[in-house]
Amino acid sequence: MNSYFATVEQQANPFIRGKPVGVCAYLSNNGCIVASSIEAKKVGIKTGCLVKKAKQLYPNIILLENDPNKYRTVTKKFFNIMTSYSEDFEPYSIDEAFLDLTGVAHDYDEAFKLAQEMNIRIKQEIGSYLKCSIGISYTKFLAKFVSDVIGVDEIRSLKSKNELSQWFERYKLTDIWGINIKLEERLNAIGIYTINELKKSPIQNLIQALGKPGYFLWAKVNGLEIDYLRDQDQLLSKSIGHSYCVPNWTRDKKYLEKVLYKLTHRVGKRLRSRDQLAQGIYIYWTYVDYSIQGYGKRFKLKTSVTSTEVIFNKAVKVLRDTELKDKVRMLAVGVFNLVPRNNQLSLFITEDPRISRLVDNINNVYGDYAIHLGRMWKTEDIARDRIGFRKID
Amino acid sequence: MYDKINESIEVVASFKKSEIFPKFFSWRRKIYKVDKVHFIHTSQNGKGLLYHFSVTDKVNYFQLIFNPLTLTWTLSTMYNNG
Repeated sequence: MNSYFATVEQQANPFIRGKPVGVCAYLSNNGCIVASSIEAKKVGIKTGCLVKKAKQLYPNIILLENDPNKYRTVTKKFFNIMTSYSEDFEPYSIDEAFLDLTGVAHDYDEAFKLAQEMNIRIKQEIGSYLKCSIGISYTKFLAKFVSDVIGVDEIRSLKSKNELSQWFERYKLTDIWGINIKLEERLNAIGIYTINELKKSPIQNLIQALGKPGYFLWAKVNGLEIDYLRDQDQLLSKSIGHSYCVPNWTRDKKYLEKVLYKLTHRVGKRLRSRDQLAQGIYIYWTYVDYSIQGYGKRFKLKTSVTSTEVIFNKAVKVLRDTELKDKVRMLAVGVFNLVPRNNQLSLFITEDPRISRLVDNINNVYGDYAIHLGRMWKTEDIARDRIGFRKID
Repeated sequence: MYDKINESIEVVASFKKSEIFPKFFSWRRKIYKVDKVHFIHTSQNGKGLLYHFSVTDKVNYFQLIFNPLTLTWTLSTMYNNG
């Protein structure tokens, strides 16, 4: 989907269509734009731009806070449209998905017609202003490459190996999926400056420079399928974390503890909803002054945990025991080394997850925060629900 | 400019097949005619769902929320194009 969050907002409100729009994590000057409309991009306001910078670039920009429920609704609907064509489906992110049409479409013309039909259905069934780019090819990597580089609301096919060089000559190394600036530098160091040079490069050189990923990269740009579509279970993240950019930068640990508790509450709830236990916890924060290194700590646990209280108590100890070198800009907490919940009793009682589960059950029926611990009193406006592009839940 | 309102409103709505469309609503003693529903989304409210309608009249955008459990409507947000 193109300029996803911003286009969904323009779908909802026709008065902001055709205008530069920025969807922000927070509207404060220090908040950042998580999605810009096509018109905002034209005036130089890109994703990641700070609110105050966006206002300087285009004073009349329309800024609004992100509304995760809107985007989740659209995502669910366009995923449903896609899966009505094939069950071989990978929900890659909130605004992107793969569909294997093998056996459904018999040639590229048929696949193109199906893609056109999907595009029309998205407009008819979800919203006429929504736009999507659809890439069709014989590998997952090439289909994504095509959808990434073609125009807004366009459908294109890359049908055979003979077309590869012609497609690649128009784009930079960093235009392809999986190559960031750092990797580009490493490729430059071995004399590779274009995608076609990467394609023609001796495979041994790439393996020597990059290891196994060197082979994968070579295979992908040479049109070899080395990937597969992953289902929802395989896409579950290996860690669960939440972060919050504190709008009023502060050294106040009492306030930061409240933020930390709210974030941990969300981490714990997601962990329990996945029926998993965590064997590791991390906490980190960054300071307002970028020249001061932020502080972070990751630690493994002797026993698996699942309750919000236990995760919070371990994380908050780090915050309490560490001297803050400046005002805090961003605070994050999360859990890792996730394992399925089992009913094995621990020899030593370390936690009682029943309260957390009971609170979850009540909130699942009566609404989030219908019941909560006193620590969360008056934290409604702190660290509200936010959504990232790589998230699909 | 978006304004958060969050006030209870009275709504005249039509029910068509399994869908519901707000037609008119009264807010602060004024009646607004809904010209078009542009987008409908849902949010979780405990076990139930809330239905959010993004609608416009000639000059305003409104987001109306319908709670099917309590059969109440709320004007959540508005945007004036003037």
